[in-house]
Amino acid sequence: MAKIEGRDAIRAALAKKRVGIAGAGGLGSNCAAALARAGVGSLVIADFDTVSRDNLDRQYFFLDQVGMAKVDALAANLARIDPGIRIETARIRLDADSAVALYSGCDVIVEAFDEAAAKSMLIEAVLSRLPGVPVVAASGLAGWGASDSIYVRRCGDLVVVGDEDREVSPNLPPVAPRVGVVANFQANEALELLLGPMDGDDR
Amino acid sequence: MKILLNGETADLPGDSLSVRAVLAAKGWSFPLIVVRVNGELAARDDWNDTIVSDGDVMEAIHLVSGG
Repeated sequence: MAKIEGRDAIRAALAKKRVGIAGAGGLGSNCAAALARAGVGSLVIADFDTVSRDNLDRQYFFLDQVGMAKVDALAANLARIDPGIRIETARIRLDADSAVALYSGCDVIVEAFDEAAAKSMLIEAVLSRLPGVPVVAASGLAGWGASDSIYVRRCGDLVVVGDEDREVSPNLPPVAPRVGVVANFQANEALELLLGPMDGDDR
Repeated sequence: MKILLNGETADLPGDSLSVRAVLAAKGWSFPLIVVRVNGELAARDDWNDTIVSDGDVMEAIHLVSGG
């Protein structure tokens, strides 16, 4: 990969990239915002849900958007960051077939679902049916603190961010900072896949 | 046999084991695990048929809900 240096070169490289975001909740909405701010040119976002009041404790939505489809609310918020971003939305509950159809042509796919079974479905679908397209998934983000228990596991075209342990439950809900940490780790890993590692960062 | 399991050397009985047997030997029974052997995905349906041998690299990633 050619050496990319300086803000303009980074943004020019990212402007040509297309990233799929599977899920527009705590992970997907915050990850999409980070990627949009960084300059990714095209985002493909899928989610079936609507914004609820309870989502506002960690998701990238606002009070006046309660009741809107999450994909529509997120597209509106991203357009306020940069109206030049190409945003494709799909208001569906993704399954393996629809995910493969929607995300073929993406440079990177971010797995941002809530349920572990859905995460597994997407990872297996992309790795087996979209060879060469990397997936950045998340596993383990509930609660607060323990920032340094969150790590990145890179195995080929699968990257997993999280602690692989703390599952969301009624007693251990997702809370904004830790969700945001993982979402931004995912965005950062996506950038590394899109741009290559930073100079001198030989992995 | 010795394999590299999640980045660490794991000493397991015999010359080869199925993915399912490796997970059982480690006592890993999480409901959702993504397994890769030498960089290739081993789908859950193939855990009995995918064989891990000495020197192989296996990653077992635990998926938990939350997002």
